Amino acid sequence: MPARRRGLLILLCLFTVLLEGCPLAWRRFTVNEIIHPEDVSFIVPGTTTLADIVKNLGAPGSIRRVDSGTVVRYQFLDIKYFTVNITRPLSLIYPVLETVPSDLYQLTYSGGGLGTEELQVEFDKNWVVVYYAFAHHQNASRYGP
Amino acid sequence: MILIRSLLFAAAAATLIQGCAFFRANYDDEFKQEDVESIKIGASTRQDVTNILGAPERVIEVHDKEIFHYYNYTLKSGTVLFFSRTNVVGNDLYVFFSSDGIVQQVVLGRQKPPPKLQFWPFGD
Repeated sequence: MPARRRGLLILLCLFTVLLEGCPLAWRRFTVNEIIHPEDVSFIVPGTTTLADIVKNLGAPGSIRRVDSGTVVRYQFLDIKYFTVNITRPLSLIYPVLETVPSDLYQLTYSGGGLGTEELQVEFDKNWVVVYYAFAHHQNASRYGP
Repeated sequence: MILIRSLLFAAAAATLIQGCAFFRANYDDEFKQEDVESIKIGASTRQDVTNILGAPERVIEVHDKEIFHYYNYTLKSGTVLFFSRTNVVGNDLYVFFSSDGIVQQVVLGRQKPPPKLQFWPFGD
């Protein structure tokens, strides 16, 4: 995924998270679906071509040139975010707080993580697979704090 | 009695739907099969492709050949009380050109299914 697109997606995600105002919230944002190892069992390095892979997995998210050929990437993104505003109910007990700017007394705990999964396939100059590999970082996506 | 019940029901419904939101959005149009099929491998030029699909989002250069990259996104989001989930699915289309600017390959393949409309943020 190009850096500009990734930046746009993260900005959109942050915008979505910031829009919410509940005292307690679990938010999740995912892009695309995970490709599992069994989904790529048909790939045989030295034999399988780009056309075979596209037929089974669809078009990749990005194509990048390397000296020995080309690398294509299929990416999945998962963001989890949790937040709790522990002072929000105070205004129900002490209505006078409604007249005080909330920034002066609010206390919020929040946390989360961004996890990615990725399938990388390198092709030679004839678009035949040289190797394929997964990058697993999905455990980074979890609710905090 | 009926009036009170109706009022209570309306109040309960108003309370329950408070903080709920659902929306969907698209970035660029979906690819039309007839547009993709009208690109002729070995015959269409870069100008023909841009006449059909418009200017590409990106142009990639691989081994002195150009690849036009088109993409679109669909987003669906649901929020109920404290829970929110947003799913995004992207589809990509690549058109490969030979060094003399003629289409060599069109890479579209299987289109990903549209994103699910969900609000529950746990599980898969």
